Amino acid sequence: MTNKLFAKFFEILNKYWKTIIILVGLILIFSIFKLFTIPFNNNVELMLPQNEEFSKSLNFLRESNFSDKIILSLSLNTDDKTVDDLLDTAEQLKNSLKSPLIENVESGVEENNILEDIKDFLEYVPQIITEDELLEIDKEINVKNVKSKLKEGYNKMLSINSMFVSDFIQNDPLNIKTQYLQKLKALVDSIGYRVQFKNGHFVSMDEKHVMLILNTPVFVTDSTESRKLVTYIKQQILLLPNYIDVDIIGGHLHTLSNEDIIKKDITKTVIAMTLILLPLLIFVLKSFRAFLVFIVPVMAIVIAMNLTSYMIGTLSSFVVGLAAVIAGITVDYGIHIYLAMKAGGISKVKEITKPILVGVFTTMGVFASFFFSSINGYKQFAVLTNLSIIISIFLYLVLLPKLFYKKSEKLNIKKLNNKTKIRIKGDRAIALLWVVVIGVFIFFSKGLGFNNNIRDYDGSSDEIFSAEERFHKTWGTENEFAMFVSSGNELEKVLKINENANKLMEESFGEESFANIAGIYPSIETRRKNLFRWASYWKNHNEEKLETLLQEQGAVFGYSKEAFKPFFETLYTSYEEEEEEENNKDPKLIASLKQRFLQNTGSGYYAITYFADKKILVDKAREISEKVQNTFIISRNNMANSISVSVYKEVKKLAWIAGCLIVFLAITLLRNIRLTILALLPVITSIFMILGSFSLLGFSINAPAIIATLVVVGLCIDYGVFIVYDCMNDLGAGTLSAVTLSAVTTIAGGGVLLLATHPVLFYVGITMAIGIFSGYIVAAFVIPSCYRLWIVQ
Amino acid sequence: MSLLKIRILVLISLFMFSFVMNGICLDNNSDLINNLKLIEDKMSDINTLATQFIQEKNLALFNQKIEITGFLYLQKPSSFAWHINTPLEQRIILKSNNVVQWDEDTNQVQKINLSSNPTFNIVMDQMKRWISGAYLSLVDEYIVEFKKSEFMELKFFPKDGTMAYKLIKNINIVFQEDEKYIESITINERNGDSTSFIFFETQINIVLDPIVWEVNPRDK
Repeated sequence: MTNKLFAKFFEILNKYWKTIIILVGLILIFSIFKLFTIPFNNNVELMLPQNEEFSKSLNFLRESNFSDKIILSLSLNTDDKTVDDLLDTAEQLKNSLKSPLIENVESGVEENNILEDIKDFLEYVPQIITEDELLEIDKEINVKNVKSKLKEGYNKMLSINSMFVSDFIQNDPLNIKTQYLQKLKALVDSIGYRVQFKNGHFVSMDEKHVMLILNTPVFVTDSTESRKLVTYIKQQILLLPNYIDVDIIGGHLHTLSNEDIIKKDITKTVIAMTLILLPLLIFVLKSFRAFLVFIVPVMAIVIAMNLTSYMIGTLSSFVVGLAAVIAGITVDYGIHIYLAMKAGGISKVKEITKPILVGVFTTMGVFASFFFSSINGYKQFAVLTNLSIIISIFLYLVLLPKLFYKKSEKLNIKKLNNKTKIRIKGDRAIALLWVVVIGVFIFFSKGLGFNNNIRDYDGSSDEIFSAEERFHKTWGTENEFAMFVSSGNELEKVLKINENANKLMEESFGEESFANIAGIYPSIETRRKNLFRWASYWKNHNEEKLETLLQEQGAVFGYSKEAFKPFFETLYTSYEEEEEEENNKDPKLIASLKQRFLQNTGSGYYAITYFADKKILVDKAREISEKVQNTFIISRNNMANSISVSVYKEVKKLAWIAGCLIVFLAITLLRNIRLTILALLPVITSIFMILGSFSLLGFSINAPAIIATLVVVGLCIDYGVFIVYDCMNDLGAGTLSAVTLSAVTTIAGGGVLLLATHPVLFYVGITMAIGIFSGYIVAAFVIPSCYRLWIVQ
Repeated sequence: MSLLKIRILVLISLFMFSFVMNGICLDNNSDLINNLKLIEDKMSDINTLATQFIQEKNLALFNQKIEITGFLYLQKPSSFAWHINTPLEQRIILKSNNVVQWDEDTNQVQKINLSSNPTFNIVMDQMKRWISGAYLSLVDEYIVEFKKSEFMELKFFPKDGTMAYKLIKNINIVFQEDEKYIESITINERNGDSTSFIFFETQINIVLDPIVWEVNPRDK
């Protein structure tokens, strides 16, 4: 039945050969041109699982303005210049940064208006004094306390900075409102940089660095615009005097660096693979036309990339980076067909078509398991690999038989087989050796850990990491913060949720600190309530009571009768403004803090609470988040854990599916349990060799390595199937030579990835190299021995 | 004379007047810079300084003026001690970026890092400049008037848009007869308050007792 089908297939090929070739040529030319228009995405998100928590975190980071900033840290590289020179240069750079890619440049805080800003804030304070705090204030309005505060004020007036103090004493003699400045300062200190202000600029504590914060509309993941932005900034930096060094800090640089490194890696990989594969094919197979065996997978990838892009849209650079490996995979089938062709022409090709198709189906089965993944990058990988395999096998079957069959070039396969097919007499010794080796690697693989750190997938250059390290040291941003986010469509609702969260966090966190703006910026409703309570408190004869006390006790220190007039004059200012609905402007001090704690995304709002990114606190915050609707946690560590759990689940699922598919396809196609077990020996061996080797090399298993392992599994089952077929039928089609060449080409394809700088590609490379090598050794030497011991005997 | 000729003549006169005035202004400005440089040069010879002072404060907050007496010590480049003896003993010691403060009433030592206290930083920075004679650096923030009659006198008017402008009306610095150091500083604030310092028994470049840089809380 199968043979009839193949005969029909080759008959059709033969009949329409020229038309098919022209059609393939046209499709290829079209695909090559279309290749330049395919949109690529080097975003690591594509390779990460899409669970709800992770998606929320990513959405938040995308919508909030946290990631869309670039920070410039300027420093002096000579002792001849002073901080004033540094400030002048920072100002020069700030003024020069004029581009649609930069919305504005924050250089610091204007100190000139600081006193007005503080006064402005003090007028606002009644809006945030709670009922309990008002009760405390009431307790303080007594002779003893008033006397003590007035004495304190008198002493302050003797001090050198009395000029700044006198206004505050007049406006707030009992320090009722001024104490809230501490609350404000604590909020700033809890989350900010170690920074001081000099001439309105952010200056480091050692006065050797100045910081500029650039707000940009360019998203971190937009590599094209990011490149324009970073190039523009670098051009402006070049114009600065040579005594200034500038560190550029921002996610955009990671995007570009990753893209550059991946591009370089791909170029390096393609060149290395060409240099390895071409001589191999030409000198071993002794034909220049063997180049076609090598070029077919490349043609297949070009067409497959276009088709995948047409079906899915944007392609992941990581997935495309694996194209070299896919080339290594599909070239295997070409080698088998080529050698069969050389051995016995079309009839031999027909003979080996069945094991080839078994190999193709099992390999496709492995990659098909990636369709069941929730990770978009994996799905792309499944589509790309399966399409590549289908196109490759089609092209091989169409092109190779027609192009290569020439009697004069007939290769002496027997001679080749004799060279590579070693008849080993010590079958038992080989089987025993395999058991020992596999046992050793199983033993070592026990201690292997799983690495879930997403930052390990960041292949940015050392220069970027060094700049970040310098930045953290200078500006004190080493501590990582987690965020408790309250979200909603309306600001008032979000503020209420935030207030509630703040209350629960105060109860739950105990002595552990957290920074929430609710204490100084509650909801409008709460502020209004506070204000009315404040006004009615003073109207309830407490104003007269305090006035009398201040006059009586103030006389002791020589305070004038009018000394505290400003306090009483402004007692109801905020309340009256509220009554007249004029109170709609936030004090400047709060407005600047709001940028950090409240985010307007355009479609809604986020209120953010910051706390140390420790597991115990994240767990507490999560408990609160479960109680309060529309809240979630953003924690770098938690995100890594969440990804780890998801990846682990995902990979486990894929491994099960792939395992079941392989076994099912192998049993179905081989129709024999023992033969299936033999065919699976390279698979089992490669898995444990990878795990054991990783453990011995001190690596942890990670997502890219697991994915590569699945690819290895798909290839090793091919080797198993071919060798088992060869043992069964003694095909004489150069099976061992073909498997050897296949393994060498695949190891070359995967091995060149060891040259890659990017960690993801490197892990894929090392996994491929170890897995394929061990799988091949078992297929070539262990399967024949086991076959003779188990099947023949 | 035709109307056109009159117009041309007036324009030429105006142009020449503005040209001459510009020259005078430039000249005045360079004179001022030279004078400030001269003062700075003279005061740059001061490495250490010990002086007594009487400070008078006329404040709207109080019925009567407050008189404060004490000592001021200066050691270049960046140490500065402010010892108040009456009406309340107080010590303020500044060494580079750190201030140590003590008063007999609380008997507690308070340490302040100027980097984290912007207002205190501004006060200290300005005081250091006025007392140490670094007046050239004040030209950006103040309009300076130089007067020399019996005593050399400098008047500083804060420029609009500066922080000082919101607080200070003017600062008047009068130098001692020998012009070696300051005789008095008067600060007139915008709210009507004023503070004056009179320095006397000024000793320059003497060896300062290390105790002046110490703050020791008293045993209760």
